[in-house]
Amino acid sequence: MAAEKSSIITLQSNDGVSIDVDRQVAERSMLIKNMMEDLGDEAISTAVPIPNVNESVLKKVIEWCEHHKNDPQPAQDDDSDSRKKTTDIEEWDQKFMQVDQEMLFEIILASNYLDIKPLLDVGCKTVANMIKGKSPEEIRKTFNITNDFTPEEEEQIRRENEWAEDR
Amino acid sequence: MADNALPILAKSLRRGEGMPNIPARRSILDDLVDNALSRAEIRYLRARLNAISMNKDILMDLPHELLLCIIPYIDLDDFLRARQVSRVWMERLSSPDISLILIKKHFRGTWETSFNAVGSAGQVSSKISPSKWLSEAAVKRLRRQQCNFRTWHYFNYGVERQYEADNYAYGPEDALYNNGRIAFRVNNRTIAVQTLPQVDMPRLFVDPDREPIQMWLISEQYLIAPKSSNKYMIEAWDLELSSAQNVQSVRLPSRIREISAYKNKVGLVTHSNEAMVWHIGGGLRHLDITGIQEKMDGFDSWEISSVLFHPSSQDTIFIVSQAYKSSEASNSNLIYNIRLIIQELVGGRQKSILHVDIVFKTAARSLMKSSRVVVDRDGLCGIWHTAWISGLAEHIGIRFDMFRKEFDTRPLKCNYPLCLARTIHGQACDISAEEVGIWADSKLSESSLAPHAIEGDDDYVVIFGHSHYLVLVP
Repeated sequence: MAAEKSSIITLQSNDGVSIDVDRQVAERSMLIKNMMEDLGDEAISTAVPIPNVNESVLKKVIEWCEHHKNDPQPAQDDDSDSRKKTTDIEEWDQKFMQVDQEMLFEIILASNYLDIKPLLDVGCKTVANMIKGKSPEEIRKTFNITNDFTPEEEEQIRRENEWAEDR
Repeated sequence: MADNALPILAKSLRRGEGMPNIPARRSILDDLVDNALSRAEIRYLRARLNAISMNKDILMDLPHELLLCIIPYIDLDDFLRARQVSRVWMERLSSPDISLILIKKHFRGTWETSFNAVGSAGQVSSKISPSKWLSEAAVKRLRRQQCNFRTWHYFNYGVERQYEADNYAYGPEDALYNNGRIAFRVNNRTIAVQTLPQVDMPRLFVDPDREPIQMWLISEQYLIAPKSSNKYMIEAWDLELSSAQNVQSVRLPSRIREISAYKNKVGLVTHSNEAMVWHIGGGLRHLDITGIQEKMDGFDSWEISSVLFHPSSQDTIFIVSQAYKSSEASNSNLIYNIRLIIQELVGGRQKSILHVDIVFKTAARSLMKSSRVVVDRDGLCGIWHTAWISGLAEHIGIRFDMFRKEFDTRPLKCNYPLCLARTIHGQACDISAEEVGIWADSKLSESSLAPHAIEGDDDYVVIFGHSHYLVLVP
């Protein structure tokens, strides 16, 4: 690797663990990238605190950034136009997202905080795929949720939402 | 050592600013597990920890703005089912901004006309609740797509229809649906218009000079027909006014080949490949098609198929044209190369021009050049070509999205013979005409419906038969 741009920076998780990361990898995070640009070399010499993210989540996020370090920066796409959104996830990302729900939740929060849009998208698609095609009862099982509707309410909602013969 | 020494110790571990000292607390736990507990105690601890239910509803614990990030990836059926999960899910998923995301995604036309202004102002009108509107519209859409209709009724046409066997265009497929109305040919000079659900007798429309009507269509508001003896004139009847004599007309510079319409706007294509727009009650305007010519290099022939109107942007017009060439493949099949060109005019000036090349391989020796263009309320167009193989039709369709200004190049295929005449209006996007046809075959096998055309939207789907028509309500 060429020496100039690939300096090492240190991130510090909220549980006090310091993690050394290639700057190019860390800059998948727009938050860190902007911070680096604002602070310049000064930031490189001191650890960058990441107060909202703990060690295990931060390591996981860095693993993602490492794998995707050479991806092109996401275009400033038009978020408002959502007609085309698919839930296809590339294979590596699918495997990466095979984590417990707690971790998935933390990755979504961390990618939002660190401003890593493509990772946030993968997290959201993963959650959407956990809902897709499932009956209300299957969704409850997936997310460990108690059905707190009364039988009457449930029947009423079911009737209002009736569109398929088989459910 | 006191009973609760460990908790007290853990709580006392704080950093300068009073925050828990997480590394120090962890180091107590590490020390405990590594150095103090026996294997039996670790097993006990493990069992205790496993018994603690975290019971975290991770989706509903997400901050609202992150929940909004997930919504665009959810389909209408998933959305409706997810709302039935629990009270919290119902409440959170019924929020207006979530509904608006889904309305924009799945009901773009309605979003533009009814919700867009509301949304950008940052607040929601109290008149229409996006959530209520969405759940009703979503149920209808899903029922229609899955052919799970609430009711279906046969109707006879209410008037005796006379067909002229020698003229294909005068057959029972000469019928249309638009905006809750159907219209059908009664005889060579009369078109009937019926408002659904059928209560009164259909209204009959004839030319003031009692001339035969050949080409005709209904828009959301008008019945439109060029005069047949003198094709240099086109007439329009306002279907919302009670007098059938309320007819407006305009003089044309040359003979009409294709007509299209949206509300009070009529798109005209002449035999000499001119494109025009007539605002009913106003004047005729020629459209500038010079930009199309440069896309035609290397093709044998070309023609303008249709003039389309953007559902919400008043000034925006799309001109659909196609260029053709054919060549023989080795296995004696024909290869048709079709270039579909869409020119976007805004305020009369060309803003963009897009094209897509389609290869249509077929054993058919002829390709029906006049393609059929259907447009739905949400600005999705289906542009269909038909090839004839020994009397059977093979169709290929391409979608175009007027809002995104993009082709969907995954070809639409529809080989159900019912689509021969027309595809369903609202179904440029999801070809369920084929499924409706199969549904009709299965439910109506003993009937004498003899379906000829299927038309419809999320409110009504109409199957036109020989002596009856069937109205299906999603």
